[in-house]
Formats: sequence, structure tokens, C-alpha cells
Amino acid sequence: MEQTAFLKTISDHQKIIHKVCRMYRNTDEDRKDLFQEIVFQLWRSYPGFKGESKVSSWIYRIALNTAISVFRKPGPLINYTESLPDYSENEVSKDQEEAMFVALKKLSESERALIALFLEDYSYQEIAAITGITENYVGVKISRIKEKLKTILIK
Amino acid sequence: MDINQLKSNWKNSGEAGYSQNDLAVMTKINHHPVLRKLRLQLIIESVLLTFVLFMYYDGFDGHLKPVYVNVLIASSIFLFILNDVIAFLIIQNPVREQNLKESVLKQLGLLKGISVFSMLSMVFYGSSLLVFFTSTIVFTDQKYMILGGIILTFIIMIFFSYRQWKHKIDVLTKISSEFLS
Repeated sequence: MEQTAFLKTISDHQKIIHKVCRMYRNTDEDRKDLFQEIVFQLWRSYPGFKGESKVSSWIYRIALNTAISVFRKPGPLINYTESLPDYSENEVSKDQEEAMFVALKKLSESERALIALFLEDYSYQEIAAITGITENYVGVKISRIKEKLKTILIK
Repeated sequence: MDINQLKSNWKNSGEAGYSQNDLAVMTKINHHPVLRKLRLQLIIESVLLTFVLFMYYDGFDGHLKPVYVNVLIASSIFLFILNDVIAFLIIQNPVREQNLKESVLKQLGLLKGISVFSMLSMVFYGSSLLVFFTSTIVFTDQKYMILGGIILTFIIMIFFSYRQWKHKIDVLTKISSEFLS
């Protein structure tokens, strides 16, 4: 019964895990491994989830923590190009998505966690609760990251 | 692409490709990308080392060695297995604090602790093996050279192990400093 509810919850929110995997890993194989690792860790922490925060906040917290803390195999060296890929009218959404992840991967690991929560429309208060930094500092950090992203996206 | 476009792209990205059956499989340790292999390694090492522990007394003339040598070899094997078990439990149960900063800091502390324990148990195991096999030996120049070669190999293995641990600790130190600064 508990597992059924868990699986339904994760199935409904699996896009979050996919996005975190895509942001923190470079190859399909590594992303698949990380996805499995996150689901495994979510399942292990599920009994401790009492619904005090939003389900999505809990998933983000475990997913980001797993992506950041878990040892990863040394990945292939990827040299991101200075400019982001151009995209045609027909492939706008896919290419824009790709361009977004290329840009996000140019940020540091902690910056990626912060901006992911910001892009998901979490309030500074919620971001502070998930990351453990103060609300004011979240504001400062987000502002810096947005500037950094602007520069990356302009190039 | 401005921030609003980024937000929109972020919310629209991601897949919903896994079925509930797929996800159920992922909750099992047998399908865990690291733990499955680590558990197998743990079982094989434990069985082999326990076998060595039972066999060395007769097989390698343990009964002819001083008592302290026997105590050394037995305790070093025990520590080696204990180190494997601790590593398995840590990977199975990573730190999950209420927020990312606390998790990363605790994980870093844990990593430093386990790295020291792992290196010490490796040095202890290697030294015990050397003491065991050399305690009653009559040394010649050739045997000293072989001993030197074995010690050098151990040092190289320990150096590579140290480098791996250092890399993992450096990565987490950098991330924790990003959350603090």
C-alpha cells in the first residue's frame, strides 16, 4: 500500500528527477544511473516524509542532494562551445531546451540547485528552506546567477 | 532567451517516460547502479578473507608464528571487512538532512572520517601481511629486494587510494564552500 502511494507520487513528479539528472550528468548512462539512485534514495527516505513540505520540495531536496553528494564516475571531458546552438523555427522548443541545459551546466553545482528551484517558481523562503542558506542570501545569489546566465545566453 | 523563457522551458522540460513498474524496480537494491556491485564485492571479499582466516593457521604455518603476528593478521582482516561493510552502509544510507547545506557538510565530515579509516585499515592490512610472512624468515640480499618491491607496490597502491579519496573530498569541499560563501 505504502509502495503504491510512493510509486504514484514519483510517477507524477518524475519530470523533476529527469531535469535534475540532465542538469548534473553529461551522458545518458550517467543520467540513467543517477535517476535510479534518486528513486532508490527517495524510497528509503519516504517513511520519514510526513508531508510537512510540498511533495515536490521533498523530491527536489533528495534529488539535488543525491546529485551533488553521491560519488560520480569521472565523466568525459566536455568542452562547451562559447556560443549556444542556433535553433530553427521547427525545432524551437527542443533546441531551446538543449540550449538551456548547456547554459545551466556552465554554472557551479550549488548555483544549479538554486536556479532550478527559482525556475520552478519557488519563493525565496522555500529555496532557503531547501538549500539551508538565508532568505536574503538566496536573493543575492539568485540575482548573481541571473546576471551570469544572461552573459552566458548572450554569447 | 530571457529569464521568463528559461522558466517556461524549465517547466516544460523533463520526460514522464518511466512506468510505475519501472520505478518499482528502481527501489530494489538488485537494480541499484552501485550497491549491487558493491554487495557482490563485499560478499566475495568477506568469503575469501574469512577462508584465509581459517586456512592461514595450517596453510601458512600460522601455528609456528608468534602470537602477536596471529593477532595482527586476524585483526587486520577483520578491519578490512569492517571497512567494506561501513562503506556499503554509507552508500546505502547517504546523509539526508533537512537542507542541502547541512547534508553536504555532514557528508563531507563522514567522507573525511571514512577515508582515514579506509587508508589506515589498508596500511594495517598490508603491514600485517608483511609482518606475517617475514616474521620468521631468514633474510638474504635477494629476499630484501623482494621485500622492497612488495613495500613499494603497497606504497603505490596506497598513494592511488589517497588520490581517489582526495579527489572526492575536494569536490565536496568546493560545493560546501559554495553554500557557505
